[in-house]
Amino acid sequence: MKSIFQNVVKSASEVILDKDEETLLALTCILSEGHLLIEDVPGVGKTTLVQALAKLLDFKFSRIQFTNDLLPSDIIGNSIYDPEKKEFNFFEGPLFSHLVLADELNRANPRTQSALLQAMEEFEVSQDKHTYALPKPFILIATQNPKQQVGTFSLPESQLDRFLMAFELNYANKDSELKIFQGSDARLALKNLKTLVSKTEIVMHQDNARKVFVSPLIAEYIYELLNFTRKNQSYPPLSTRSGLSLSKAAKSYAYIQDRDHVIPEDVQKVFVAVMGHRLGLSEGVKIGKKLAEEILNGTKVPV
Amino acid sequence: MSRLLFKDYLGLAICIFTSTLLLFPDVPIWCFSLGILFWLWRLFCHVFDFTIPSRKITGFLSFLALAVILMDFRTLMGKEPAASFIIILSGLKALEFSDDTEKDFLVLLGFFLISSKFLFSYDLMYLILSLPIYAILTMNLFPHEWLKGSRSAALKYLGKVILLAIPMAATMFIMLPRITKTLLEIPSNSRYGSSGFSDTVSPGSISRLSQNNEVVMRVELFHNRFNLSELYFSGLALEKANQMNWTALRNEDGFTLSEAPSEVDYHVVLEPHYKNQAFSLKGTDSMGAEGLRIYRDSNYNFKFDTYLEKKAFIQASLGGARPKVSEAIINRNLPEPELSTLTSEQQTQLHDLVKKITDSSRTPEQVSKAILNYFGSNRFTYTLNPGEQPQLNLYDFLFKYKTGYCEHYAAAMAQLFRLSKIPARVIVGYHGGEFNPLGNFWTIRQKDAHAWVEFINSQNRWVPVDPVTVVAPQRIELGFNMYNSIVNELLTEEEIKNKLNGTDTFSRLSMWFDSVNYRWSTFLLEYDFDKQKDILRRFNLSLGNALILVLVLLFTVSVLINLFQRRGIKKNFSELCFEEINKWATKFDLQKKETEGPVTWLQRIANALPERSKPFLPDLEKAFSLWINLAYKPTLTPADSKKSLNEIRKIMKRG
Repeated sequence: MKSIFQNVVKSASEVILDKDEETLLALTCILSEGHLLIEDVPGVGKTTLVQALAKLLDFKFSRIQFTNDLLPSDIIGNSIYDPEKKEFNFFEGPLFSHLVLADELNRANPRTQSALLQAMEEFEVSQDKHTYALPKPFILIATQNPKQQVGTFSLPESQLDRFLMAFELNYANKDSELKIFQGSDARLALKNLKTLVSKTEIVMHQDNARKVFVSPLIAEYIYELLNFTRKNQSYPPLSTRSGLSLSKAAKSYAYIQDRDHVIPEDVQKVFVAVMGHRLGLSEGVKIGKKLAEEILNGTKVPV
Repeated sequence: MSRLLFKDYLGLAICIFTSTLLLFPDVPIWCFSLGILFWLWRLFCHVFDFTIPSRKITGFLSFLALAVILMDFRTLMGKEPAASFIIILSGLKALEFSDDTEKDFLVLLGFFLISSKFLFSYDLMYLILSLPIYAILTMNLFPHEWLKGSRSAALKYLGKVILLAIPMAATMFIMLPRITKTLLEIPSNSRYGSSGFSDTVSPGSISRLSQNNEVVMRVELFHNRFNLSELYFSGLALEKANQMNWTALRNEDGFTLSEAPSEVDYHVVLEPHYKNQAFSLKGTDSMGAEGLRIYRDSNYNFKFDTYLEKKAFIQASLGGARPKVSEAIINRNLPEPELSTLTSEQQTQLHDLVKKITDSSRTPEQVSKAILNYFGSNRFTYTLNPGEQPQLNLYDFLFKYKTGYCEHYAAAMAQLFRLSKIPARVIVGYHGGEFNPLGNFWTIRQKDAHAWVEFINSQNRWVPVDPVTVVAPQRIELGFNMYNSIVNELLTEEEIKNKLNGTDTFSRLSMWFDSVNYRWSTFLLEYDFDKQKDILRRFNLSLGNALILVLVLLFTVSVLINLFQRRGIKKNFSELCFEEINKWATKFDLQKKETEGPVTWLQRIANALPERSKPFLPDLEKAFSLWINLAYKPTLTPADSKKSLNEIRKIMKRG
């Protein structure tokens, strides 16, 4: 693994225990300029993870707590009339950050949810007749309560597809939990975290990750994985865009592993995270994860 | 769970299924149904996405089948039990078929299935059926990549394989010694042919055969030219009489083993039949057949020592005069018919007739003429459909109905002889047949079945006489087929003429096929160890040299296949590298899992490698990195790829 990313994972693990793999996936997501959906019950460290990442990567961080009465302008920003200059001034909303934590996204009403769409896809927002570019890098990390919880609006399929990855955080293992109960306040540890990578470096890494080589064999492997769901009625068919996402994520993963080419293991490592929410759809990531593992176990790695 | 139902090997599946169907007549019905059941089971699993039964279950089933076959046949040797077992085995293999490794075994089974049918059948028909099956099976032995691509390419390829298969098959046939007998003489469950005569002939029992088209034998005559009217093949002599019903004596004495003829006058290729009669032409003095014993009685009637289970190739010679008949036989054939069932009036009428016949003649020959005259001048008619009349008595036939088939006339005439104190008997066999001008042989069918009379003449010798020559001369001159066509107006005169000349296309075609088939079966039946040596001698080869030649041939073929194979997958160096490593890993049973990536695989090997092989690990890692670079890095030049491949080969050789 590239030492710089190793350091990031290691530092993050001081704040949030037993979540190295998830941290790595989140990093992969960031390098792929993709958005991340974390699905889990409250209180497993979703916010802490995101905050730690923001701190380590020197990202401007903002957090939006979604409720069912939140309006689009609450996240995008407002144009307010300035009587002295006799013109409208745009006041940027919380979306204008590098790392936006959209907490409990599925509590918001569909109208607000869809306001996020343009931001996620085009990295810009429109207010009145103006278009405002979002800062670069821009990564949205949304958390979502499992479907069973009351008062939630499940995300529409089109919106799910905008997220590059989705995973569950799950409870930490026993040892880590014991340590958490004994240990000092995570918020305090968060404050002590030092920035390890600069924003510009991240943008450079993103550019480099895009150049990682995908061989014909890997492309074939990705095709076979998608094709498995297309010829098998019991799986929702995966789209070409999802395949593109998979390839992007695998490239970033390979880059983090300090390789200039993708190997089948890279694809396998990110597959569940990339496809889980696309396969689970309204059933939730948990079901999708199971399906994704079935697909992996049913597809030959071409040699 | 794999759902692969011969997806890429559809041809293979069809081949083995067809071969199974072809073997149907040779195996017990339960075996066959079981084989088919396994196929259906597999199909069921495939369609409804059920789990394929595990190897434990199929293994257990195969043992069970073996046990049942053993119980049924009491042995595992020989053709039938082997065929039964192969059928069940291939069904089971089809059932558990899930990947490439099982393919080769299935192909092997397919070869066995189709060969056992083809080589034991002596029928060219099966050659035509077998060739494409052989070809497709062989094709399945080749690397899978060859078969990918367009359908026309596959067809072209199939053609090439067939072209290669023919000389191969010919070589195998010439080189491999053949066994003319079944391996062990086991009572077989298979069906026999349906020709041959039962011991009793009653009115109507032969005419029943007149609709039966089944071939009894094919006969090729060499030195003597026979007219159709002279072709009498006698099978069985019936000497015990009860008015119109004649029965063979259960007297087994006087039979001696017939020696193979020194000079062959005619060949008979006899189809299997359920009796042991060997049909011989009038005047035959010896008959011999490879692997069969033929017996002869003092009157030159021939029979086998056993039922004829498969085609027999018989050589026979014609001899001179018949020996004189012994006193015992004369006495045996003298008893006058029991007439007590007739009224006295009818008996008087019958005796008057006999008196009229004997009054005008002194010698048996003259009596014979007188009887024929009586049939000829008293409005006796010949009918093809007399119906079954086992109760018909002599009086009713001679004075009331005056119509019948050959057995009526033969039975009545022999009785008239006996009433005239002349020993006589009824002979059943075949008369006439169909001449095939292309193959120069006669085809004799069940409908050519015939009965006639033999009486003892003044020189104490048996003499044949056929009453039908008087009643229906055309039946004897033209043969049954033509006579039937004329009487029933099935054909016009012109068509009959064409048929006789063999000029209409269909009959020419069928004659042609029949003659080729005849040549094939005689060649196959004649081909024994001596013939094999003959052929080798003709090519100036000793048996040892020939064996070496076969080995060289096999070697060349395998080299050629290898070369082809290389060329077939040349483009993919990565796959070749993988195969090198995988071959090595087989030693430790650590082959790559299909869903596993290379690094995971290496990790697994590193963990599971036995302690003594651990020093090899760095080398192995190098081989893996070479392979991974080749497969997943930007494409190397062919030269570099080759270098990597060679390096991996070197490393793996060390390991």
